[in-house]
Order: sequence, then C-alpha cells, then structure tokens
Amino acid sequence: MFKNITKIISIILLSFSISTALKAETIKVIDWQGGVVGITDSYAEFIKNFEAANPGVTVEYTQYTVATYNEYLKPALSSGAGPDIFAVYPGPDVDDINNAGHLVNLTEAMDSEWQSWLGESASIPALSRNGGLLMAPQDAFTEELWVYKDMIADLGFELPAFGDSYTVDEWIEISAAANAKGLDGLMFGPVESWCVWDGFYNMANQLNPEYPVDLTNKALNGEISWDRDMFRLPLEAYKKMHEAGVWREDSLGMDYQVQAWGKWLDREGVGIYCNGDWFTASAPAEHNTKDNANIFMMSYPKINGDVPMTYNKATGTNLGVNANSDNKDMALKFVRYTNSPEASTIFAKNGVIPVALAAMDLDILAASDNPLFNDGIKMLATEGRNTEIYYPQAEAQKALYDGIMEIFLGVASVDDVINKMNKVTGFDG
Amino acid sequence: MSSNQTSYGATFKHSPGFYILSRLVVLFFMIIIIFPILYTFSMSIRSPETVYSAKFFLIPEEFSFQNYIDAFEYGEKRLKVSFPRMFVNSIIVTSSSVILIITLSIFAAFGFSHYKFPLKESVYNIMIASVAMPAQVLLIPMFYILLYMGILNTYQAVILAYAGFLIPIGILILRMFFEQIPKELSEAAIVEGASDFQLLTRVLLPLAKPAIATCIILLFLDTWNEFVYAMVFMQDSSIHTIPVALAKIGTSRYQISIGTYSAAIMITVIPVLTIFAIFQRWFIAGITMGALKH
Amino acid sequence: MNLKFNYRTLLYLFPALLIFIVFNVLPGMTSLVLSFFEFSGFETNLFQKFVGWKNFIKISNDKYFWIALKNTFLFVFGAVFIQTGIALLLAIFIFFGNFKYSTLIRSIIFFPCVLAPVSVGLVWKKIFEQDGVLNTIIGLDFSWLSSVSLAIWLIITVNTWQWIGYTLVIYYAGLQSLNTELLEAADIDGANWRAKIFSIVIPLLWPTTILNMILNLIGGFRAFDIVYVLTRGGPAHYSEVLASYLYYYSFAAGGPSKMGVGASIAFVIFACIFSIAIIRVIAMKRINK
Repeated sequence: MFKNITKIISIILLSFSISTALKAETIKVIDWQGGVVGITDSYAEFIKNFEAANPGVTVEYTQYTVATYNEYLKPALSSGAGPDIFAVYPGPDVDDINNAGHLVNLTEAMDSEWQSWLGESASIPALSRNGGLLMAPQDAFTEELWVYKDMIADLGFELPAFGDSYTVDEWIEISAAANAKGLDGLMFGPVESWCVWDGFYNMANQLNPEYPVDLTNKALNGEISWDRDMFRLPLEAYKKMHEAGVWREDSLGMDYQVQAWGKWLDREGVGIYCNGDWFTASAPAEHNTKDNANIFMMSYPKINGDVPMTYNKATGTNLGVNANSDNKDMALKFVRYTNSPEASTIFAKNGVIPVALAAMDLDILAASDNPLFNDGIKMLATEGRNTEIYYPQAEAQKALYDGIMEIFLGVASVDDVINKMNKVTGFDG
Repeated sequence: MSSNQTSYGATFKHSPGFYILSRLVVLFFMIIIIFPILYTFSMSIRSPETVYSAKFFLIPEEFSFQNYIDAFEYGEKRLKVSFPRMFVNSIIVTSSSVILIITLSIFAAFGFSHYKFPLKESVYNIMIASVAMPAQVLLIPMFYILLYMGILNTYQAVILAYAGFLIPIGILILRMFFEQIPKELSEAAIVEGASDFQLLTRVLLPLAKPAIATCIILLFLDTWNEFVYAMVFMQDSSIHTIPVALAKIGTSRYQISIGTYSAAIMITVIPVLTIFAIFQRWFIAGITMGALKH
Repeated sequence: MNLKFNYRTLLYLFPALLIFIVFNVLPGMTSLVLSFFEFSGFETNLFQKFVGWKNFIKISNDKYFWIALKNTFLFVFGAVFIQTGIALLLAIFIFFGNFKYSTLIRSIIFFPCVLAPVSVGLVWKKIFEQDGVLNTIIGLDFSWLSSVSLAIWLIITVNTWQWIGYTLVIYYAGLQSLNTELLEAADIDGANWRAKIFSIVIPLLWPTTILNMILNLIGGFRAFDIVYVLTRGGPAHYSEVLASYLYYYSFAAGGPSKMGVGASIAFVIFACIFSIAIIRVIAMKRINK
C-alpha cells in the first residue's frame, strides 16, 4: 500500500513540474478552425513575426474543431480562466458572450490606421452590437457551390458566366444526367445545420421584395409572417431538389466537412453544396493549377431565371478580445497585427482571403498561383445582393432546420413548417 | 488439474453437440467482430491511391506503409504533438488513475461488503446512479472545482476527475466479488486471530484476483479512451492524450484520407493490444481455483 | 459477513468517498440545481436567472425529447438484455468449450473496446454508407443511417459490437471464480450439457449477470460518443438519445445554447437510474425475506 502511495505522490509531483513553466507575458489564442491548412500556416507565421517584433512575449495558439469548441470555451469563459483571444461562432453565441461581458469593444480600441486597413469591414453588422465592433474579422469568403468544369462539359452543359449560377431546374437536369453516369449532382451534408440554413437564406434573399431591408430577420423575430412566397418558394425548391435526387438520399445522414467534402474530393459528384472559398488552400491540387483550373465557383441555385444575383459573403474566423484578460493591450496589438497588410499578404500566400482588403492592391492579390483564390477575390468584388447568414435567433433557426429536415424526410409538409415557424417566432396574425 | 486454467472443458468433453454448437457460435461472432477491424487494418496498409479498391473489401490492391508515415506527419504538423509523446501522456494518466482508483476501491468495497453502517445502501445507490450522468453535464461545475484547486491543465486534473467517476464502478465490481467469497473462509481467518486488515490482505485479495484483474482492465478502458475531460481540462497540447488527438484528426475540416486515418487508429491500438495480451497471461497464471476447494 | 465497525473502517471508506463527493456528487448536485436556471454557459455567474420548472416544461413539450427518451430506453434495453445475453452465451461456450486458443479468442472479441468511439463510429459510418460494404454484401441500396426508424437500431448494433468484450471479460472472471463442486456432482449424476448449463452454471452466475446488467444499464444511459459520431442524433433528431440531446442543447454549434435545459435532461437521466436502483433495493429485500 505504501508503495502505491509513493507512486501516486511522485506522479503528482512529476506532473506538477511538467505543467508549471514560468513564461514571460503569454497571449493565448484559440479558434475552431482545426484542420484548415491555410489558417494554421498563416497563424504560425504571424506568431513568428509577432514574437520577433515583441521580445518577451509568447503567443500560444490552439485550434479546436468546430464540434468541440464550445465544450472548451464555455467553462473557460464562465470561470474567468478564459484565453486572451478567442474566436466566436457568429450568430447566437455573439449575444450570449457579449451579454456576459467578455468582449472588448474594438471600435473604441481601434486607431485610425487599423480602421483604414479594414475599411467597411470595421463595422460588419453581424459582428457588432450597439455600434461597437466586438470581433475582429480575419478572413472573408463567399459561400457558394464549387463544380468540376470537366464533369459539366462531359454531361453536355455549359457553365454560366462568372458570378452567375444555375437555376433549380437546371440543377435537376444536370443531376439527372449525372445520375445516369453514376455520379451525384450535388454533395450535400445537412447534418451540419448551417448547410441547410445558408442555402435557404440565399434563396429567400433572392426573392426579397424589399431588399436591402432584411425581411428574414424580421420573420425570425416574429415581426412578419412566414406565409409568403419569399419563404415558401425556397422550401418548395428544397423539396423539389431532394425528391428529384439532386443529392443522394444518404445525404441526410452525412456531415459536410468529412463526408460530403470528402466524396466531392473523390469525384463522386459534380458539385459540392455549401462550400466556401475558405477552402481554396485545401482544394484538390490537380484541379487547381494554372494549367488546369478545373473548378468553377457559383452561388446558390436560383429559384428562377429572373432573380437578381445573390451572394453569401461573410467572414469566417472572428476574433474577440477577452475583456477580463490581464494582457489586454498586448492581445489587442496581436489582433491588430492580424488585420495589417503584412498579415493580409501572409493570408493570401496561404490561400486564405484576408478581410482587410481596403489597403491592399486587389490586382496583385488576384494574380496568385491559386486560381480558386483569384476567383475568390473576384467573387467578393462582384456586385450583387448580399445575404446575412449569421442570425442571432437560436430557437427560430433550430425550428427552421428541423422543419426543412422533416420536409426532406417526408414527415412534414411545407405548410406544416410555415405554420410551425409562425408559432415558434411568436408571430400573431 | 492443469496450471493454465483458462477453461473448464473437463465436464463437457463428451458432448459432441455442445462441441459443434460452441464452435459455430463463437466462429460466427468472431467473424462479425473481426471484419471491421480487418477492414480498418487493410485500409491502413493500402497505398493512398488505391485506398478504395480492394478484393473482397479486405485484400488491398497495393500494399504500402505510406499511410503510416502520413499519419505521423499529420500529427506532428497539425497537432503539434508527436505520437510518442501522446502515448506517454496517455500512459501516465491511465496508470495513475488505475492505481489510485483500484487502491481506494478495494478498501471501500471491503467496507461495503463486510461492515454494516447506516445509510449504506442509500450511499451505494447514489453511487450507482451518479455514474449514469454523462460527462458533459458535469463539465462546467467540474471546471470550476479544478480551477479553484489550482490544478487545471495538469495530469492531476483528469486523474481526479476520472477517480470521481470510476470509484463507484470499482466499488460495484469488487463488492460483488467480495460478497461471493464463501463466508467460512473469512470466519476461519477471524477465529485464527486475523485483524480486519489482515483479513483483507491475506485472505480476500488473493481470492479476488480475477475481479481485480477485471477491474484493472475496465478502468484502463474507461480512462484510456476518455476524451471530453482530457480535452477540456488539459488544453496544453504537450499533455494531450491519444483520444483527444484522434478526435481532432477524425473531425477536423481538413480532408484526411481514410487510409491515413485508419493508420492513425492502428498506431494507437497495436501497442495497447500487445500490453493487453501480455497482461492477460500474467493474471491467469496467478489464479488458483484450487484454493476454493477444501 | 459483518465485522465490527471501528475507526479503521472509516479509514477504508473515507478516501474513496471523499473523492467521490468532491469530484462527482458536488458537480452532479450543482448540475441538478442548475436545471432550474436559464443560462448559456458563458456567464460568469450561472445562477443569475432562476426560471423554476420552465426547462422541464419545455422538454415535456418538445417532441424530440420524447423521441430521445424512447431511443434511450431502446438503447438501454439493447445493452442490458441483448449485450448481456450474447456475452453470457459466448462466455459459456468459450469457457466450457475446450478451445485451444481461448485467450486469443477473448482478446480478439475484447479488441473493439480498446478502440476510441470516434474511430469505431467513423469505421462503421463507412460501412453503412449507401455505397458502402454492407449494401454491397446484402445487395441493397438502402440509406441506413438516414432512416428514421432504423438509425437507432444500427447505433445499438454498433454499440453492442464494441462492448460485448467488456461484458464477456466480466463473465469470464465470474466463471473462473465458480465453485465447481456442483458441476462435478452433476457429472457423477450423468447430466447432459444442457442441464448443466441451464440448471447450474447460469444460476450460479446470477450475481455476475446482475453486475453486468447494472454496468450495461449505466453505460446505456451515458452513451453519447457513439451516437454523436454515427448520426449526430440525426436525421433531424430521430436517433437522439438523452445524452446526445442534452449535448445538443448545451454545446452544439448552431444549437440553442440553453444549458439549463441540458441540465434538466440530465436530471431526467439521474431520476431514471435512481428509480431503477430503488426498485432493485426493494426487490432484493423481498427476495431476502
């Protein structure tokens, strides 16, 4: 028994010595982009440069995966032992974290140079509350569909012009032709709820009669009814595409980042639904070279041929600075650095589209070796409707996702879902 | 009586019906168990290009160990932790936890099985019920407690957290086995003047060897594969355990070929299996059923 | 066997109980209390917003909660009866079957337990895909994991597959501790193997069976990883179990982020097991009379 006790004590002592290392000022940064090559590599370089320019400062950067991020972040922030800089899922989490008082108001902390780097992106509504920017955006992207050009040609179709996309009916035709050849039309991973939401929001936005007034937001708040074409038609379009087999039946059990994306990389389908050009660094190399730029990006399916061009342009990682941090000033300095032209160039080099484009020469950026990256810059600059995808209403969005999935499963009808949405959002007459 | 008493076929030797039936049933289940494992293994030794083509699902078209190299590199580059380091961490956490839990459980199970005290069954029931709480529920309160104790981000944090969870299981198993030991033995020892401590160490423990071995194996399992607490309470990547790393690999946003992933799984599993195989023999050799006969 | 309670007894019980209380009961009770509050988990003071029974009313009105409850009971049923039953069968056959490589066989059956749930989930996910191994062998084109009715049974199958070795090992320990006098007596009487197994071995193994059932019961209620990796509770929450639905409410990205509701689901789990434990105590008292 005593042997065991000494063993235990020595193990405890051993682990003490391993884990307590006196460090100089340390900044802890975390995000949920675990596995996104471009971001990992970019940050590695940022940290190297920042530590060289600020001796005595160490930056510790840890990446989690999307699924497990909140499991770490909630206890950490709640107990006051949170990291100095942390990414926040845009959407409902922003309000929860902000109301708990964890975020520094970046608009107040920004100097004019920092603001000039971000330009308009310094006041993105989804990232701000009460006029104050709460999270510093890092990378920008357009959320869209990617298709293999050679497959489209093989099936006998023509690509739309850059910036345009296929209509729902065209996708049904393409998928029928693809299925005949043993391919899928679109790879779809609806187990991840944003795959379902963001397409819906785009289609609704195409039909928004009062654009740029955000009617979807009003509906999610229960201010207006869900029983209108703007919402009904996208639900019906989803139903039509599912029943026509645009994506395989198995999709309902597939997640996006491992299964859907993986199968598209294996060329089992023509297009990947709900992708974003945050993945330009992870695109299959053989199809993304100057000699073989075989991937085409297009926006979501158009409800019909007459709707205006509608895009989902957004920011990916958004870093908040912990208001309770001991190293607030140094943390702000680091975040500021990530928006600088120097950092933006590093992002671009690694295939990540930086958000701080206001001070950058877009022509130089869009001439890199990565065709998809170049296209991504072009797409961001293309004029058209922009769609909000980071709504804060958690319950309503949950009901929307469940409703659409039930339509796919054949358990609910479009009317059922519309009625449920009105009920959940509290719309009364 | 054979010394390697792993089975007791003596009384069933002359039953051909039993013989055939047992072979059929065992074979059937072995196939079901083995197939996915072989599938994973065969995935891991395929060349990356031919990962999806194979004869009868199992026999690779092209053999290659490239996947293992990729898996090692992936761990180094993306996770900032080397596989060897992760192994060390897992071993430290698991062995400390198992030692701690077994020791405390043996004593506590002795207390439960051989003594009477008020509220004994209520406490026991609460113990059983508490184990059913999923780990995530206790995450935030546990985090607070560990933070308050100042041991966050260390091995002790998870060791103690696991102990809290697994001591009830240890007590459950050991109490059951202690109570199965014939009373005559304990009574004989007492008559001969043994103290309760000596009763435990000289009489009960040697007899409970199968139970303790079982306990060790089960505790090993529950701590080796646990990843929620490991991930949240030990964020420092230098003390990451294997399940955390595997979970990151398996759910990251970077497409990892199933071949590489299978290789990562095999890397983590083969040493464990070897240890387990050796362990099993060691414990079985120490079992003497003869002690029960008198 | 009842020895006299003395100070040493306290010493035996104390360390285990202390750790149990600090690292299990304390967080557990906190969680139960928290089920009466509303919080997202980010607040520095979790106890700000007391909402009484609101969380419980919410889940009782939520159709997916009832689906999760039903699935949990199916899952527990599978674990307690199917898993225990098959393991018992296998243990008896291996122990008495005079297998030359019984240790190897047991190790192989035990092997899946050593695998991390994430790994098991990913491997089986591949097998269950529409163009995966299972469909190719059976010759169907069915989408297994997106089936509203079948998904949970597949999860139960995978779970049983993984953990059967666990139950087997415990049964084996029980068999090794078995008192063989009765068997030898039966031999002398010339009983056949059916009689020996059903009238002697299985009844003698009864305590071990109870132990296994309890362990599998607990494991069944707790199971989260395998559900999450295989289906994430999908499609559309039709394969949720209580533990995964709790996770969805508490931590999921894009989920409702209402940890109070998660805590109330945990309360339900605790209540279920506690009731079963009480039933067990009452049953034991009746049997002992």
